[in-house]
Amino acid sequence: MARLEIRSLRKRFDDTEVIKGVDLTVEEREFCVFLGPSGCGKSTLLRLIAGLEDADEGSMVLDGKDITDLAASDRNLAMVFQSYALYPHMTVRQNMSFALRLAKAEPAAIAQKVERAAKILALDPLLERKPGQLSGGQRQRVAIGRAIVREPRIFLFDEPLSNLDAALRVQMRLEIARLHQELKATTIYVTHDQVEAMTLADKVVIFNAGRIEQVGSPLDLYRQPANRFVASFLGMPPMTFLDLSGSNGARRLANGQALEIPASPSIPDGLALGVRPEQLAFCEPGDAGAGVKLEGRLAVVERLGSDTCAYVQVEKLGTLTVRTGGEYAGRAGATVCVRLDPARCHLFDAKGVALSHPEAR
Amino acid sequence: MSARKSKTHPERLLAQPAILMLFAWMIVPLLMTVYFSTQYFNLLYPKKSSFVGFENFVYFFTYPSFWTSVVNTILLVGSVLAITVVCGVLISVLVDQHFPGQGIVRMLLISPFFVMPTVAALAWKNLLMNPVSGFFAWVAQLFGLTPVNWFADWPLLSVIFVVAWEWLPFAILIFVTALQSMDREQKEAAQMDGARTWDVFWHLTVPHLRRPIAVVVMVEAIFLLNVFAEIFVTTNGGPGDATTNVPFVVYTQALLEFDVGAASAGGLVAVVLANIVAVFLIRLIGKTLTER
Amino acid sequence: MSPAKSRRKNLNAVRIVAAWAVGVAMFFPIFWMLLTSFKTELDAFSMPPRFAFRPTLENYEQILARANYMHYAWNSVATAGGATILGMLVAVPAAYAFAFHPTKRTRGTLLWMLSTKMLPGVGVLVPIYLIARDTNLLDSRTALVVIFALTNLPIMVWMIYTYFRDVPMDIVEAARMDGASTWEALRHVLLPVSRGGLASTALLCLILSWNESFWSLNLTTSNAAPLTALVASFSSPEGLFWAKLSAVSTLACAPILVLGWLSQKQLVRGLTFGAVK
Repeated sequence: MARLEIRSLRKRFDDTEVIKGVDLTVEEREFCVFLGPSGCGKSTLLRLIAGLEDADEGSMVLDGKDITDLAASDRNLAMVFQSYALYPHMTVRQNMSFALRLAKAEPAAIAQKVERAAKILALDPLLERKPGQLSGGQRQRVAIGRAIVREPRIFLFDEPLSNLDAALRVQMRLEIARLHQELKATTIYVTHDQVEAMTLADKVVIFNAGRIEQVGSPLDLYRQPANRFVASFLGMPPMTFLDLSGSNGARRLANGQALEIPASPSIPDGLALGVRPEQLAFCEPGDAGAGVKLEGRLAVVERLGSDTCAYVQVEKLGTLTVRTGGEYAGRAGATVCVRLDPARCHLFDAKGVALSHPEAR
Repeated sequence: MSARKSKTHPERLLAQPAILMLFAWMIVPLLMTVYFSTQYFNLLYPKKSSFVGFENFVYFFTYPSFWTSVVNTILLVGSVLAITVVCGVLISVLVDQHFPGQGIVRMLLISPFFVMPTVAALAWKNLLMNPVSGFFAWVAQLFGLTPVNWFADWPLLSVIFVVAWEWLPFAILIFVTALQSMDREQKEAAQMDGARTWDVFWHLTVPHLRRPIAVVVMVEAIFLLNVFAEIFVTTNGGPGDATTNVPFVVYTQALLEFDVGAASAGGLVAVVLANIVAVFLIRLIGKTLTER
Repeated sequence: MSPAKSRRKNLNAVRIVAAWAVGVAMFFPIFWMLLTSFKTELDAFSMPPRFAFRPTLENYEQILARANYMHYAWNSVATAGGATILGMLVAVPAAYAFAFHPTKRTRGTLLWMLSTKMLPGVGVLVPIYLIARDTNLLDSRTALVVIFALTNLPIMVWMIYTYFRDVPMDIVEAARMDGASTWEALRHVLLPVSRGGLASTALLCLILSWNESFWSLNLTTSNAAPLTALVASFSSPEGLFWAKLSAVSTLACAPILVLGWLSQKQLVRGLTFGAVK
């Protein structure tokens, strides 16, 4: 298994720079997820690593060897494509053995490796079928099997689950997690789905417009986002942001209510508060407790069974999202009271950089 | 970290043979034609060649048959285009529905396109249009009319019929294919809005076929400007020069009178005519390329 | 049944009858020719035309017995087949380069290729004739093979180009990731997947070369003359051998007619340079 170092990588398409100087290290045996919105460059970076695109500047070093100028066919990396890219005229067995046949490996060794991969992915009964005769989930597993057989130095996944329906997606996510535990292979996984990132990754790399915003474990990114972009990208429903006016010692919300923020000479003006739905709670108007009580009207209540997402309209503040238990009985149109405790909120400066995070419970 | 040079792609050389061959095919003979058009060069007297400038063109433009040939060409191309497009649209709409034997009827309709031009011409001239023993003569007699001596009395019209018969299937095939891509739901929505058959045809079908019609017109024009075999085999350009078109008049000059100079001048005229059509076709096809 | 519905049914019936009538009318000349080929010369020429007659194979026998027919047929097969092979050998690599390694000039080059197709044969008749004469290639199959290949090359490149563009790019990339060189990717993945398109292209070239009637008439006399020329020789007014003409014509056209029926859908793309799919 292999360690990949990317240094100052840049890539341009015509006149637009899509990768703007990326530095990253993927450790051995790590499951590294590239996460970001559409068009942020994560797939492009994956293709640069694979060798399907050429970098304009920078270098990539795999296990100490510079692979930047190597052709894709010489890098010994395996890629699972979003559309699976199975060879339609070959059977499953031929699909999976193609690379080894090209490398002129021993037929006995090829057969053994194919059987092994087929067993891991439960593909045995499908080996003689052609891709056209398989379902989406089955094709996906063949695509993964094709990668496994090659025993590559790094597995590359390009949004592999996006073409599957919801139930299949959950199932395949578990499969991939199990595979990683069993094979312990260095993996780079591209997705725009934060659930996949949170559940599968050892390390998450968040991209935005060709640059890395933050790198860290899923929980680190969730609990301590480096800026507003990362904070709003992770978490469903997303974080609510409230602008604060005033200066040290006398901060106010947009509706005039005062908030107690610990004063500190280093905290500038133009702050914003970030609060996740689970950090807000309903309360009674007479309750005592830390923070401020906000009165508002229930606009929409989404009941998921296990918990409830309530969207509360507060005058002059906007909409707050509150997550509460599944047994919550409030109905749309009702007046409610929400407790906002600054000690449980994130603070961001005027440029969106995070200043402080609430203590982990 | 220096900027990287773009990798060379040797695969691009794979296109060279095709490009070079076509380049040679186009440029070399064309240049020779230009050269010859300025020469007095008769194959029977090759030693007497000399430079005569534009004399060949003057000769050509004052050659009476030349203007007739241009007119005939325009008549031929225009009539066949009109017949094939109008009848093609009507027939393709007629067969654009499921009915017993639809597949067979389609096969019958496109068959003439695959028949050799020489066969087509002779079959029409002898088996059908012959005033004594042809099929049409018999039908005429059934109705008490005198049979028409097609190729003698209406030579150009006869040639037009033959060529139109050959090319109608092409138009039908193209339009039928295009109609299959027409949005059924759009038609159903129109019908719910009260559209009748004619309305659907005029307001939905015909606009949808605008592009295929343009393609058919352009592609057919290219080939129709070069009609040769049908004339060669039936009338040899006659009677007189009634069915002589531009290709035929050039052929006459080159291979019958061996006047290479005049033939080359005529050939260039044909090239100019074709280029005018080509410009439009290329613009049309070029748009298709960018629409992917 | 309501009057409106019965009127619609009647209209539909009329439409079906009309469709069949048009189909039969279009095919009639071919049918009549086929019929005539089985008549004796006397029957063929008789007036009124005979619908019931004693069919005979004597025309076919006579044509095939004379070595001549087979010679012309062989010329057609050799020139059409040779042109197709030569054309495919040159067109496939070119289409590959245009489809998978395009440059800024690819579009212009493709359009230029299109324009060479529009060159009227008569514009270069004289030089080609002279070149052929001076290189001893007049009345030779080689000359026809080369010319047929050249005249059909633009269509073939375009057709294969559009079929290659239809192949999803990622299976070619998957092959590269699997370690395939350019040639291996072409051979193991690209060509098998585009088999259908390549077959249609070859078929179209075959049909167009077989039916080609300008160069085949002007550049050959006897040695390399294909079937188009054989049929053309029946146009002389001396002696009317209609039955034989029909037999020769039927033999000459039947194979292409069958091929055309089989491949009609695929031909549309090539004949319109991909503008109609």
